[in-house]
Amino acid sequence: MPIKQLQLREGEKKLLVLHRHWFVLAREFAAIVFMLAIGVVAFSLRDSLYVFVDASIAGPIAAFLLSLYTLLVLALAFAMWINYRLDVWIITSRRIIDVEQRGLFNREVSEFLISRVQDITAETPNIITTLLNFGNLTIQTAGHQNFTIREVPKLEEAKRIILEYSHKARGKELGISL
Amino acid sequence: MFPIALILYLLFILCYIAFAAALIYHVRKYTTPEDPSHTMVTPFIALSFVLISISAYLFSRIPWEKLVS
Repeated sequence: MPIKQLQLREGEKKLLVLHRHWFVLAREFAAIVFMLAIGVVAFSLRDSLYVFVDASIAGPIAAFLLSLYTLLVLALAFAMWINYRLDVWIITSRRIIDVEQRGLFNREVSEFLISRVQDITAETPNIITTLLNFGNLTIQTAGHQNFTIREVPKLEEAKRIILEYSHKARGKELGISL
Repeated sequence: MFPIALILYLLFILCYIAFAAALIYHVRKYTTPEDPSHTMVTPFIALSFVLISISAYLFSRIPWEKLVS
Protein backbone atom coordinates (compact mmCIF):
# COMPACT_ATOMS: atom_id res chain seq x y z
CA MET A 1 0.00 0.00 0.00
CA PRO A 2 1.61 3.29 -0.99
CA ILE A 3 0.10 5.38 1.80
CA LYS A 4 0.61 4.22 5.35
CA GLN A 5 -2.58 5.68 6.82
CA LEU A 6 -4.85 4.02 4.29
CA GLN A 7 -5.65 0.67 5.76
CA LEU A 8 -7.54 -1.91 3.75
CA ARG A 9 -10.74 -3.10 5.34
CA GLU A 10 -11.62 -6.73 5.85
CA GLY A 11 -12.27 -8.46 2.54
CA GLU A 12 -11.04 -5.45 0.60
CA LYS A 13 -8.23 -5.89 -1.91
CA LYS A 14 -6.10 -3.42 -3.76
CA LEU A 15 -6.75 -3.63 -7.50
CA LEU A 16 -4.80 -0.82 -9.09
CA VAL A 17 -2.49 1.99 -8.00
CA LEU A 18 -2.25 4.86 -10.45
CA HIS A 19 0.35 7.61 -10.54
CA ARG A 20 0.45 10.27 -13.21
CA HIS A 21 2.07 9.21 -16.47
CA TRP A 22 5.88 9.55 -16.66
CA PHE A 23 5.42 12.15 -19.41
CA VAL A 24 4.03 14.57 -16.79
CA LEU A 25 7.24 14.20 -14.78
CA ALA A 26 9.38 14.50 -17.92
CA ARG A 27 7.55 17.72 -18.84
CA GLU A 28 8.27 19.19 -15.41
CA PHE A 29 11.89 18.06 -15.51
CA ALA A 30 12.27 19.78 -18.88
CA ALA A 31 11.62 23.02 -17.00
CA ILE A 32 14.37 22.06 -14.52
CA VAL A 33 16.82 21.40 -17.37
CA PHE A 34 15.85 24.76 -18.88
CA MET A 35 16.47 26.51 -15.54
CA LEU A 36 19.89 24.84 -15.25
CA ALA A 37 20.70 25.91 -18.82
CA ILE A 38 19.74 29.51 -17.97
CA GLY A 39 22.09 29.39 -14.95
CA VAL A 40 24.97 28.07 -17.03
CA VAL A 41 24.35 30.63 -19.80
CA ALA A 42 24.18 33.46 -17.26
CA PHE A 43 27.43 32.22 -15.71
CA SER A 44 29.14 32.09 -19.10
CA LEU A 45 28.08 35.70 -19.72
CA ARG A 46 29.94 36.90 -16.60
CA ASP A 47 32.73 38.21 -18.84
CA SER A 48 30.43 41.08 -19.82
CA LEU A 49 30.45 42.19 -16.16
CA TYR A 50 34.19 42.69 -16.27
CA VAL A 51 33.60 46.06 -17.95
CA PHE A 52 31.98 47.29 -14.72
CA VAL A 53 33.62 45.12 -12.06
CA ASP A 54 37.13 43.74 -11.81
CA ALA A 55 37.44 40.15 -13.09
CA SER A 56 39.01 38.99 -9.80
CA ILE A 57 35.82 40.08 -8.01
CA ALA A 58 33.07 39.28 -10.54
CA GLY A 59 34.37 35.76 -11.28
CA PRO A 60 34.19 34.39 -7.72
CA ILE A 61 30.86 36.14 -7.07
CA ALA A 62 29.34 34.65 -10.25
CA ALA A 63 30.61 31.17 -9.32
CA PHE A 64 29.22 31.56 -5.78
CA LEU A 65 25.80 32.69 -7.07
CA LEU A 66 25.73 29.80 -9.56
CA SER A 67 26.35 27.31 -6.73
CA LEU A 68 23.40 28.77 -4.75
CA TYR A 69 21.20 28.73 -7.85
CA THR A 70 22.09 25.07 -8.51
CA LEU A 71 21.19 24.27 -4.90
CA LEU A 72 17.77 25.87 -5.39
CA VAL A 73 17.17 24.00 -8.66
CA LEU A 74 18.13 20.73 -6.96
CA ALA A 75 15.56 21.30 -4.19
CA LEU A 76 12.93 22.23 -6.77
CA ALA A 77 13.63 19.06 -8.78
CA PHE A 78 13.30 16.93 -5.63
CA ALA A 79 10.06 18.72 -4.70
CA MET A 80 8.68 17.99 -8.19
CA TRP A 81 9.60 14.32 -7.86
CA ILE A 82 7.90 14.06 -4.46
CA ASN A 83 4.81 15.85 -5.73
CA TYR A 84 4.68 13.39 -8.63
CA ARG A 85 5.03 10.33 -6.40
CA LEU A 86 2.58 11.51 -3.74
CA ASP A 87 -0.25 12.14 -6.20
CA VAL A 88 -1.83 8.73 -6.27
CA TRP A 89 -5.14 7.04 -6.98
CA ILE A 90 -5.83 3.70 -5.38
CA ILE A 91 -8.63 1.53 -6.68
CA THR A 92 -9.68 -1.19 -4.28
CA SER A 93 -12.54 -3.66 -4.50
CA ARG A 94 -14.64 -1.29 -2.35
CA ARG A 95 -13.33 2.25 -2.74
CA ILE A 96 -11.56 4.70 -4.97
CA ILE A 97 -9.06 6.75 -3.00
CA ASP A 98 -7.64 9.98 -4.36
CA VAL A 99 -4.52 11.33 -2.66
CA GLU A 100 -3.50 14.71 -3.96
CA GLN A 101 -0.38 16.52 -2.84
CA ARG A 102 -1.04 20.18 -3.61
CA GLY A 103 2.21 21.47 -2.13
CA LEU A 104 4.30 21.18 0.99
CA PHE A 105 2.04 20.40 3.97
CA ASN A 106 -1.00 20.76 1.72
CA ARG A 107 -2.51 17.39 1.10
CA GLU A 108 -5.98 16.17 0.29
CA VAL A 109 -7.20 12.59 0.64
CA SER A 110 -10.70 11.79 -0.59
CA GLU A 111 -12.44 8.52 -1.21
CA PHE A 112 -15.79 7.21 -2.32
CA LEU A 113 -17.43 3.82 -2.54
CA ILE A 114 -16.97 2.01 -5.82
CA SER A 115 -20.64 1.00 -5.70
CA ARG A 116 -21.60 4.67 -6.19
CA VAL A 117 -19.91 4.83 -9.60
CA GLN A 118 -22.41 5.41 -12.41
CA ASP A 119 -20.49 6.50 -15.50
CA ILE A 120 -16.86 6.60 -16.47
CA THR A 121 -15.40 8.61 -19.32
CA ALA A 122 -11.86 7.94 -20.53
CA GLU A 123 -10.45 10.89 -22.43
CA THR A 124 -7.24 11.17 -24.45
CA PRO A 125 -7.36 14.86 -25.31
CA ASN A 126 -4.42 15.39 -27.67
CA ILE A 127 -1.82 13.75 -29.91
CA ILE A 128 0.76 13.23 -27.13
CA THR A 129 -1.72 11.52 -24.83
CA THR A 130 -2.86 9.34 -27.75
CA LEU A 131 0.68 8.36 -28.73
CA LEU A 132 1.82 7.70 -25.16
CA ASN A 133 -1.44 6.09 -24.13
CA PHE A 134 -2.55 8.14 -21.15
CA GLY A 135 -5.33 10.60 -20.38
CA ASN A 136 -8.09 11.65 -18.01
CA LEU A 137 -10.67 9.48 -16.37
CA THR A 138 -13.89 11.20 -15.31
CA ILE A 139 -16.05 9.25 -12.90
CA GLN A 140 -19.60 10.27 -12.17
CA THR A 141 -20.98 9.05 -8.88
CA ALA A 142 -24.53 8.53 -7.66
CA GLY A 143 -24.32 11.87 -5.87
CA HIS A 144 -23.89 13.49 -9.33
CA GLN A 145 -20.40 14.53 -8.42
CA ASN A 146 -17.75 14.38 -11.09
CA PHE A 147 -14.40 13.09 -10.07
CA THR A 148 -11.50 13.42 -12.49
CA ILE A 149 -8.27 11.47 -12.43
CA ARG A 150 -5.87 13.43 -14.61
CA GLU A 151 -3.02 12.30 -16.84
CA VAL A 152 -2.87 8.67 -15.80
CA PRO A 153 -1.80 5.61 -17.80
CA LYS A 154 -3.77 2.34 -18.06
CA LEU A 155 -7.02 4.18 -18.81
CA GLU A 156 -8.87 1.26 -20.29
CA GLU A 157 -7.71 -1.15 -17.60
CA ALA A 158 -8.77 1.27 -14.85
CA LYS A 159 -12.14 1.84 -16.53
CA ARG A 160 -12.75 -1.88 -16.91
CA ILE A 161 -11.78 -2.66 -13.31
CA ILE A 162 -13.89 0.15 -11.85
CA LEU A 163 -16.96 -0.81 -13.86
CA GLU A 164 -16.56 -4.50 -13.07
CA TYR A 165 -16.20 -3.97 -9.33
CA SER A 166 -18.87 -1.28 -9.31
CA HIS A 167 -21.36 -3.78 -10.79
CA LYS A 168 -20.25 -6.43 -8.31
CA ALA A 169 -20.57 -4.06 -5.37
CA ARG A 170 -24.02 -2.86 -6.43
CA GLY A 171 -25.08 -6.47 -6.94
CA LYS A 172 -23.94 -7.31 -3.42
CA GLU A 173 -25.83 -4.33 -2.03
CA LEU A 174 -28.99 -5.51 -3.78
CA GLY A 175 -28.33 -9.10 -2.76
CA ILE A 176 -27.83 -10.27 -6.35
CA SER A 177 -24.79 -12.26 -7.42
CA LEU A 178 -23.48 -10.83 -10.71
CA MET B 1 30.19 43.98 3.86
CA PHE B 2 31.53 40.54 4.84
CA PRO B 3 29.44 40.14 8.04
CA ILE B 4 26.22 41.09 6.21
CA ALA B 5 27.02 38.72 3.33
CA LEU B 6 27.84 35.96 5.81
CA ILE B 7 24.53 36.46 7.66
CA LEU B 8 22.58 36.43 4.38
CA TYR B 9 24.43 33.33 3.23
CA LEU B 10 23.80 31.50 6.51
CA LEU B 11 20.12 32.50 6.36
CA PHE B 12 19.89 31.10 2.84
CA ILE B 13 21.50 27.83 3.93
CA LEU B 14 19.20 27.58 6.96
CA CYS B 15 16.13 28.13 4.76
CA TYR B 16 17.43 25.54 2.32
CA ILE B 17 17.98 23.01 5.11
CA ALA B 18 14.46 23.66 6.45
CA PHE B 19 12.97 23.19 2.97
CA ALA B 20 14.99 20.03 2.33
CA ALA B 21 13.98 18.66 5.75
CA ALA B 22 10.30 19.31 4.89
CA LEU B 23 10.71 17.41 1.62
CA ILE B 24 12.38 14.47 3.34
CA TYR B 25 9.66 14.51 6.01
CA HIS B 26 7.05 14.08 3.25
CA VAL B 27 8.92 11.09 1.82
CA ARG B 28 9.29 9.47 5.24
CA LYS B 29 5.70 10.13 6.32
CA TYR B 30 3.66 9.52 3.20
CA THR B 31 5.43 6.79 1.27
CA THR B 32 6.12 3.17 2.04
CA PRO B 33 9.62 1.67 2.21
CA GLU B 34 9.20 0.11 -1.26
CA ASP B 35 8.38 3.45 -2.91
CA PRO B 36 11.26 4.59 -5.19
CA SER B 37 11.21 8.01 -3.50
CA HIS B 38 13.23 6.52 -0.65
CA THR B 39 16.12 5.70 -2.96
CA MET B 40 16.25 9.35 -4.00
CA VAL B 41 16.65 10.71 -0.45
CA THR B 42 20.30 9.71 0.08
CA PRO B 43 21.52 11.10 -3.30
CA PHE B 44 19.55 14.30 -2.62
CA ILE B 45 21.16 14.74 0.81
CA ALA B 46 24.62 13.89 -0.57
CA LEU B 47 24.27 16.26 -3.52
CA SER B 48 22.94 19.02 -1.26
CA PHE B 49 25.89 18.53 1.09
CA VAL B 50 28.35 18.69 -1.83
CA LEU B 51 26.74 21.84 -3.25
CA ILE B 52 26.61 23.53 0.17
CA SER B 53 30.30 22.71 0.65
CA ILE B 54 31.12 24.11 -2.80
CA SER B 55 29.11 27.26 -2.10
CA ALA B 56 30.90 27.72 1.25
CA TYR B 57 34.26 27.31 -0.47
CA LEU B 58 33.27 29.80 -3.21
CA PHE B 59 31.98 32.21 -0.56
CA SER B 60 35.37 32.10 1.13
CA ARG B 61 37.08 32.78 -2.23
CA ILE B 62 35.29 36.12 -2.76
CA PRO B 63 37.83 38.93 -2.16
CA TRP B 64 35.70 40.93 0.29
CA GLU B 65 38.40 43.52 1.04
CA LYS B 66 38.69 44.32 -2.70
CA LEU B 67 34.93 44.49 -3.01
CA VAL B 68 34.71 47.11 -0.26
CA SER B 69 37.55 49.20 -1.68
